[in-house]
Amino acid sequence: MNDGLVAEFKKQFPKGAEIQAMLRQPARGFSITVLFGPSGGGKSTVLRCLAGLERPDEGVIQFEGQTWFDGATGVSLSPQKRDIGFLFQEYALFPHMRVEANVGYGLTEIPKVERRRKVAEMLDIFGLTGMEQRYPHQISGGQQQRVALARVLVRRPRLLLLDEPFSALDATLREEIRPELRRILARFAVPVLLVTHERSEVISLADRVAIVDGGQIRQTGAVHEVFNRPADTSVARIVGMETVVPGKVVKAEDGLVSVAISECELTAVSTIKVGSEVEVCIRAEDVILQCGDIPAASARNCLEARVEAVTSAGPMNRVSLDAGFSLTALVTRPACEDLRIRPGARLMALVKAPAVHLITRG
Amino acid sequence: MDWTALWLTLKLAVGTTAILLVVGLPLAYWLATTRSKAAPVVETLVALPTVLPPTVAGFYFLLAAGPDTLLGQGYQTLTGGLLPFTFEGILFASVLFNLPFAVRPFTSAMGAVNRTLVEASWCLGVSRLGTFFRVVIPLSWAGILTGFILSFTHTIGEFGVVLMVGGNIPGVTRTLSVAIYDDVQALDYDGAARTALWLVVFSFVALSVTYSLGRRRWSI
Repeated sequence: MNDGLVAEFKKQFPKGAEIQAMLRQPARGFSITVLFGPSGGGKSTVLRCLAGLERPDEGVIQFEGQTWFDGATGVSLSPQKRDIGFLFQEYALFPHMRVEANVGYGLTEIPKVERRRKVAEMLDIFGLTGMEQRYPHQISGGQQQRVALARVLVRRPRLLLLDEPFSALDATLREEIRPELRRILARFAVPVLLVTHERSEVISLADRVAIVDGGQIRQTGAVHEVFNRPADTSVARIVGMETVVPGKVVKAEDGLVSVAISECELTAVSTIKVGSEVEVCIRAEDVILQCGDIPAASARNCLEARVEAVTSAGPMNRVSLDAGFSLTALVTRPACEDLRIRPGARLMALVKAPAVHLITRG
Repeated sequence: MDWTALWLTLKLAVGTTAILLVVGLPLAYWLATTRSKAAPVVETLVALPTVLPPTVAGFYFLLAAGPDTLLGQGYQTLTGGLLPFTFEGILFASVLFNLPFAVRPFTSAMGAVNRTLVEASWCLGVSRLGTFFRVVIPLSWAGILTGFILSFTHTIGEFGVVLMVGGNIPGVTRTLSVAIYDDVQALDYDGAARTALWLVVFSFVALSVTYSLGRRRWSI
């Protein structure tokens, strides 16, 4: 394989944690692959191994046919020779250098005039013209992020690694910057690997996603595929399927199956055989709540449910229901008011068959 | 005022500080960044002169640098000269004895440099040596200057080690502090007072500069 990134390695930490990475990024040119998972799952370590800042114990890392690391032969290229761009969580701007010197820092091998031209071009792209003579502590968090990106991209790296690039920014700024970041990165035609634990960042930025948990890459694929068809229950929980309950397939017909969960039965789109033990996963956003009788609805699953608890989740409310099994729904606050959703209330929960995802157990 | 002793003392202090910069900076960086199990032993060896009486250090150095020892013979083969009771001898001893005054502030300043900045520099294609000079040194300059001033000042006032290793040879090993001791022995209190006052003023100024530098740090 001559293009893209091939990384299959292991790293054991002295305190027992083990990181295992199996990652392929076939794309040339611009694409964003997000390493997504809970904090402490090993995402940043994977990124640091790719950058050459950590040395794996065994395995191989290759990029565009060049071996960066090979545990068997002892090859381990230094970060300087990998030709990557690495954006650190806190940006790591040099505090003793002005913006201009920070951006031009990695361009020492080209003539001064050329360097100045390249730096000016980058400052223009990132909207930093006029900031040349400022020190990092004299500019805002968002500007610091742009200086750090300009400093990395001015060298035209072959692969860009971003470690939680938005974690140092406040929530409002993050929302603003995300689409802008994707637009700017696309101009540089560079493959990007981005680490985050924010689901919204995956949805708004990623082309592909790799779910990292417990030191392992659990599933890799297109975002919609991984988010809608998680391979196991841990991935299902990570991608936001808050309802994960055991069930059994009792009927299969025309690509639809009926799954028995406790006393209830749910319809799902699946080809799993009758008799299979499954985990039934439902995303909280896919559950619709309704009061009173339901006129004819397209949703295949209409469950009588009792509200157990209502908790705040940002602009939404998380409603825990007893529908014969534990079911979670996310609804807006006004909807909660209109439907008088409070603990003890009885209502109907609607779930479309394609929103019920089944994972075979065992 | 013994101008010859002053000139000799300045020569010793400049020589000691210059050698300490060359030897101490890489040693300090190693100590600040290594995970080696040997580091505490090296740190102890470096710090030893701060707790040992100068006469003890001087005595051992005298024994180690004698003409029959490996160090003494090696030096003789290289230069044709001897170490005890020569300027080179007191310079060598002074470097060893002042090692902690330079290396410890260097180490603590370099240890305080954010590791991420160093890694960012590597990822921007800059070599380890380039990173050392362009990131680590500029960000630890206050600590480096502190070590520089402390070792310079300490050498100016050095007495025990110089006397043990170099004796009291005018123009060769007779430094200011040895000259004061000589003046007092000869009951020339006025001469001793003049030199002593000069040393006190110099030390006060040097330490004031050091402490005011210690309050300056880069921030982000």
